[in-house]
Amino acid sequence: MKIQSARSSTTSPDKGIVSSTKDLHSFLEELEARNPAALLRIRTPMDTRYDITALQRKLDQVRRYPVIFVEKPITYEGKQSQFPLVTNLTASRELCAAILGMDPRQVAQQYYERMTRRLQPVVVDRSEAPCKEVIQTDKINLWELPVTIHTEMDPGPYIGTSFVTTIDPETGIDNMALQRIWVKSPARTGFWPAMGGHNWMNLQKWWARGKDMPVAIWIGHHPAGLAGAQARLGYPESHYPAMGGVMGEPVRLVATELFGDQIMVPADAEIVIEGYVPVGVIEAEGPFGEYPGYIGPQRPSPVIEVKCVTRRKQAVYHDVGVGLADHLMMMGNFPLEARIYDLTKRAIPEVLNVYVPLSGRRNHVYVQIQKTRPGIGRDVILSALTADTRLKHIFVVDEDIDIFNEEQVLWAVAYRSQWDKDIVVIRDMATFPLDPSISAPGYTGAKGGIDCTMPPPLGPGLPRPFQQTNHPPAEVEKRIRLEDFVTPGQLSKFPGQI
Amino acid sequence: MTVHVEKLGLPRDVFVTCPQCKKIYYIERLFYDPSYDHVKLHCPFCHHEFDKRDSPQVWGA
Repeated sequence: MKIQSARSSTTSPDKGIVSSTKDLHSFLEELEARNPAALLRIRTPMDTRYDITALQRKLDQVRRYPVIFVEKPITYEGKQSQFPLVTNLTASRELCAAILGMDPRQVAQQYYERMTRRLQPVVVDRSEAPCKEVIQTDKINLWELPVTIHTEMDPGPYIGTSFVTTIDPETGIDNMALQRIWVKSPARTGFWPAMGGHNWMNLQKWWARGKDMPVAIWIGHHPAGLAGAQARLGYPESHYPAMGGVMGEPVRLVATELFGDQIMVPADAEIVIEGYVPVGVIEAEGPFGEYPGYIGPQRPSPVIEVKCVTRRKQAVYHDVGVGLADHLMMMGNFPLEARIYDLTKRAIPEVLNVYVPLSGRRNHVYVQIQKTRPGIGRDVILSALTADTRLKHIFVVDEDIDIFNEEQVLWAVAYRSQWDKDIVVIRDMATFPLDPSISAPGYTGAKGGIDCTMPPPLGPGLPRPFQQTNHPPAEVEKRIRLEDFVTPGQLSKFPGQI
Repeated sequence: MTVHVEKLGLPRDVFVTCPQCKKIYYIERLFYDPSYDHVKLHCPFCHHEFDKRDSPQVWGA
């Protein structure tokens, strides 16, 4: 199957002609043309029940992250879906940074700069919206979509790429968040808005008024749009301007079928699901294998009653490898890095860079600083912890430590910290409930960090009062070149380290 | 008797057994809050819906 884009243009009263150049189709088309080796096409039928995620895990284990395009996915009901499935779209840090036009080592700064250049969305008529090519209000069957079962003990197929869009009933301002959706039956889903999240806040307000909460879930867009949609913002604040900023063009919005312009969705999305979260209805949701790498427990949670589905005629279903790099990298860690960079840099100008490593699965942060004065390592820890409830341990290192090299970070922990002086621990901070090491009831936990920096210089132009690291004289280091002694063939055969 | 688990103290998760397929999985302790007392559990293996009081064996409650 050839991937074809459905590019379109429209007129906005305040913006003139606005051309949409970015959607999932245009991205896949461009990827296949420019970097075909980055795309793995599966042409034979493949089961959405565990098999696709299992393949992703195998690739993850060997640290390889092609975009996976499954032409003939087999659905939960055992039928071949009419919709192809794409996954692993946001797994590789290098590919993700390239999609955004960023340096993979400078995402924190560059994403932050892009996000702050807000681009107001433009509204298009439904006739200009690819996501309205098919509108379905009866005989809805979400099981026709190739929704995957990711992990053993998941109770059924889960949409992991659902941008759940709700509105604050007080202000009318929209919010969206990437939240798991369990397709429990053809037109009913489970929905878990974690406590403290902005959709959870909106839900509390709707239910306090005794009203069902309107909800629209959109799936599939250009990956740059997905990265922008996940921007960490205040409340209440619409994500669409930041999404446009990160994407580099205004998001084209269209009114929903059920709620009109009360809830707007991206016109260039692949699929939109509309419905209500009925007031007071709570059912069991989960267990579900989540991003920390653990299967979270079954929880009492709200549900969504689906009333309408709109989509492209040739919709591509976007899945995500839940708990894998695909889930963590661009749609989580990039916005987090930017948020942490913003907050810490404002408080401590000596902050140089921020990295949220895959290994910590959003609980760990590495912050690189220029240590100019005593105490700022600890200040960074306190500042970073306020950036997001997920963050748990902050590691602060000097400018000579490569924060993208975990061996170097651990070396700094080993030789630049004394735990009786350099560890900061704060008890009972608000936390995200997916950490299995937290005691009941699970709302708070201990957080902190390690200051792994050397003491600052003794004065302007003076050395830092700390032992120097091993290295030959600079002249020798430059003169002795590996390639003068060893061929690439020899190098690859030398004994290595596990 | 108060449940106490090494490292966790009071655990968040309670292990239950599905009365139909007899398989074990875990649920959030919140199900034992009176406001959720009426909510049926859903076995992730056989999809049987059951009252937590009907679980043949429970650990950590």
